[in-house]
Amino acid sequence: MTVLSPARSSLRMVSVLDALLAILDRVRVLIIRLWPAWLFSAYFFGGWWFASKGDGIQDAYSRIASAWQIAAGFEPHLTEIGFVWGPIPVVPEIPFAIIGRYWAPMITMGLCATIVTAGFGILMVYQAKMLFTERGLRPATVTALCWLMAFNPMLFIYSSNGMSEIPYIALLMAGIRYLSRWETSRATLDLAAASMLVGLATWDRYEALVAMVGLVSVVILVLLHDTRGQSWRERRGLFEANLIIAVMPTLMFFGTFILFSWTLTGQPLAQFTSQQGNNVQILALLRSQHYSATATTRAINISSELLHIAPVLPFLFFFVLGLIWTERSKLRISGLAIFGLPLIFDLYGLTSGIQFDFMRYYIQAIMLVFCLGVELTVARRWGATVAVAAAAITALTVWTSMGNPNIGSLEYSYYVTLTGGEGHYYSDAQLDTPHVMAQWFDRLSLPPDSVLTDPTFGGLMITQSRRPYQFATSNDRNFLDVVNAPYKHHVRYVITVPSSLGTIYPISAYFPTMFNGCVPNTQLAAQFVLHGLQGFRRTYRVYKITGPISPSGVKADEKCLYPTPPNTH
Amino acid sequence: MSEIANVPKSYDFYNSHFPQPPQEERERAAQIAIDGLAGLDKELMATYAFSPWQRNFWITVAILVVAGFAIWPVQVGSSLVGFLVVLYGLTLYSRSRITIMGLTSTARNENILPVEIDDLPIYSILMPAFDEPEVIRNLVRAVDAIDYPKERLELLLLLEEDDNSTIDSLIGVELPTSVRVLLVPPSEPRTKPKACNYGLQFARGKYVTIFDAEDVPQPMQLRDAVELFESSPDDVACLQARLDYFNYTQNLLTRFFTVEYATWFGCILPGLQRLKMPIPLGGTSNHIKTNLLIDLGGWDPYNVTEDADLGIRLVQRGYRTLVLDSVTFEEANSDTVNWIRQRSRWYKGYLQTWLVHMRQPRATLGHMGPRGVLGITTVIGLTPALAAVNLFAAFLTVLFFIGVPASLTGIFPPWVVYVGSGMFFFGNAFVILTSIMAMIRMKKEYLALTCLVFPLYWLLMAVAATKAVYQLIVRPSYWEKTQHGLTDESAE
Repeated sequence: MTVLSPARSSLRMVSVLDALLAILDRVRVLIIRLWPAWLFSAYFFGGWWFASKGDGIQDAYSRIASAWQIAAGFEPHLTEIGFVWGPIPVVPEIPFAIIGRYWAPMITMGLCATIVTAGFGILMVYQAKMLFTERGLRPATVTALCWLMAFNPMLFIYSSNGMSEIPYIALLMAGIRYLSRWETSRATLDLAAASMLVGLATWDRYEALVAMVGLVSVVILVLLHDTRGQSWRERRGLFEANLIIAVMPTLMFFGTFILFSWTLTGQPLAQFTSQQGNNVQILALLRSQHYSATATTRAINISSELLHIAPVLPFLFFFVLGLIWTERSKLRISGLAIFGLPLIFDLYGLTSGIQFDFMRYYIQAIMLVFCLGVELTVARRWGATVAVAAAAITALTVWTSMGNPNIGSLEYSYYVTLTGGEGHYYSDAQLDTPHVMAQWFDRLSLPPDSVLTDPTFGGLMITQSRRPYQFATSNDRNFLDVVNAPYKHHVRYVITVPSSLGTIYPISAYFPTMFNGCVPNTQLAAQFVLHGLQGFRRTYRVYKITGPISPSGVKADEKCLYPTPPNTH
Repeated sequence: MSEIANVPKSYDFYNSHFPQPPQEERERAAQIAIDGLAGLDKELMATYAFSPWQRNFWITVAILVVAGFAIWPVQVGSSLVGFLVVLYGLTLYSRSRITIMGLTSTARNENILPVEIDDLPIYSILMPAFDEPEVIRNLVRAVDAIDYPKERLELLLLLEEDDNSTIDSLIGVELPTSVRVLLVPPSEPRTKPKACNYGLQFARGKYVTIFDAEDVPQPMQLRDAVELFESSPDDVACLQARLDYFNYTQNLLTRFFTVEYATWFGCILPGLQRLKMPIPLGGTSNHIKTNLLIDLGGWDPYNVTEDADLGIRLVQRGYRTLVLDSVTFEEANSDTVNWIRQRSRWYKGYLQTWLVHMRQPRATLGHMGPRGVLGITTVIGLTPALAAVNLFAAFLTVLFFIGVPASLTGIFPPWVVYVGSGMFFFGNAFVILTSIMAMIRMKKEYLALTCLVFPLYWLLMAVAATKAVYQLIVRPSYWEKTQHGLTDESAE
């Protein structure tokens, strides 16, 4: 047996340690380089876990229902995405929804939507990372801010729940990055990229139109600064050319969407005019007690909510605004304009009652904290510490706001789940009843388009069905023909809701008294009760159609009032 | 001068005023001007438009499409429309890529070493003119304007021997010492490349370039070209200067033309250069190494866009073309009919060029590689082809919106409608947007609003392209001369 001398033995140990350290270093590099994969996994499995606990939001499931109907339809047609929602995130969900034909959780647990928003979540963090780096932040600051962004409770939840907020934020973040580059380089390709990204965001949320106004403001301010001292005649060409580049892509994206919507459905702006659109729903809600507060009260409430969610924002806002005024050559205003203006618009909307009072509208405030923090870091040596602290404080305040059901009405269920409570009772998308309804219909083995409903109220049920093609919805191209003569178009069941909900549910616009059993040739087949947020109940009645019915044949006598006054239900 | 013009003149009379080379040399040069390229490879000449197999192929395709449409209108119609949509999509993709590469390229050629005045070589300028008596004024102006040692500058004014009016206009005028008038013996084809080939035989310069009579190059262009040549690797055989128009304010057509050229020279050519794709040379201001050009057989005298053809032949021989950061101002065509005439000639030439180089597709692929073949197909072949198809596509679009007969609705399957509509809106918007970006890059922001109505120009292009296709079939080598001197003087 050879005995190694202590010197040789320690040398060998050192070399083994070196090798181990090298391996560990490689693993570390691999982990760092593969951060999008890890983050995607976190969002994906997080979304799966939330869904398994019953957390979800109805709007997301409504989109999934549209994608599912296309993916599993008998005659799939892209117009079935409906035009109440923009094509993002519905269209990217379709390929994953196809997998749902073979693996149910992709639809029933909303995983096809989770994949899409997780992808956009990665895009958001990546674009932020690039922006921070291009603005000259130190790697440690970049990493800290990216972590705080990726795992901010709101941003995390919305990156995993299939809603439209994160795609919108990710596209705007990318737009800010390119616009910020343009502020430095004046390279038209950067400006064009920024305007295209903001334009694309209009396919996700209409607020992107306001973001475009922000983008245009930046272009005007920068050009005014560049051409100071010149006459308008000298400036004109430069302004015209750059402003066309700034505006044209957005008009193109939005205009094309309107044109398609108008051509295919007859409604150019379905979000505002459709029965399932925001406006109609908000008007209905405003009639209720909860929304009857005065504008002043609402303004106070909303300011207070904003301070709850992002208390550091006012400080950052005014301080950075002052810095921009004094050191404009060093600082960039893209983030402030592109997240700031839509935030102001949303706050105005909330105050004036043209928006739902949801916490998710404040998501831009969170992003604004990051953008302002970056400029502070560029301007002051101590800015990095303040920026990271502000992002950390915001993560904390967002978390506490979610824990308050009066602020985070939709997010509260996630909070309860994350803190170990029973969350599903509070969930906006309560899946138990829709699942039972879907199973009831699936057992009937009905042919395509046999059940009349719509993707907003019926969306949850459609996602729980393995036979989504059995539902005829308002997204269908021939919806008007079907709803005017259901029996002739092979509809055998109609899902109804109380007429007190008004015409949010489009079937009620045609058969307002069917819920009360006042339409001839129909008979009550089943009744389901949905339990929702904070003790909310909604009753669905399923009527079987036994012969031809038409909207003109609806009875409206003293027994079947038309329509039932909203406040009597 | 008018008295002289009324007297019938002979070659001897002109020879006494403008001494010509010995007759033997003239005859030899005239022969090479026509057959120089043929001596290398007859198949590279556009003496005929279609080779036998190409003719048979296109006739077969036409018969199959017509017969197929008669028998199965919906199936064949939808396949055709689908094919068009795919073709448009691919072209849009490649054009986007080229444009973005062009927009992100650096404007100036880097690492250029200055060349001392004493080291400047002899530079030859070929200036072909036909039936342009007003050439004299521009000629003197051009020579005076060029910043190059006059003793090393050689301007060869190439006139047809029987072009009395132009030659007469020069008699009695004291020409600059660097100008030499060469009378091209009359023979067919009577084309600009033939005249240039003739002049090339007598050029003494290390480098040679072509200017049209009305061209106004930037004064330093020749020196810039020498410096770039001397600083570039040996495989750089040609430099293409940017062309621009001095009369862009004359009317909407000249504005369109200016936008088009700014995009072409400001984005597309730098993009092609970066992607290492063949660069089709512009009609003038291409600077070439003289010896190399003679070795290549000069220009194809039968090709009506001999410059584009030369650009491809350079690539086939392993040479490169770079974009020279210098501008030559030209006169933009301001008359619509005249513009269509000029454009149809260019388009016909592009089609000719593509067909010539596709006569032996395997050999072309071997010489240029897939990227090169894709490049010439996209930039040379598909530009006029799609411009011609645009009229048909516009008709189909209108047909779709006003309503298709029920029996033919199937020719617009849903995927075609979605992709086609998307490309109609986004493709057009993208091209307009990139045009505006090119205007900013070329410091022509004042033309941004013109870019917004650029689709009107595409309609004109479609008319010219349709005419070009017709002429390619019935008069392949006919040179449709562009009328110059239509500039409203106030517009300059």
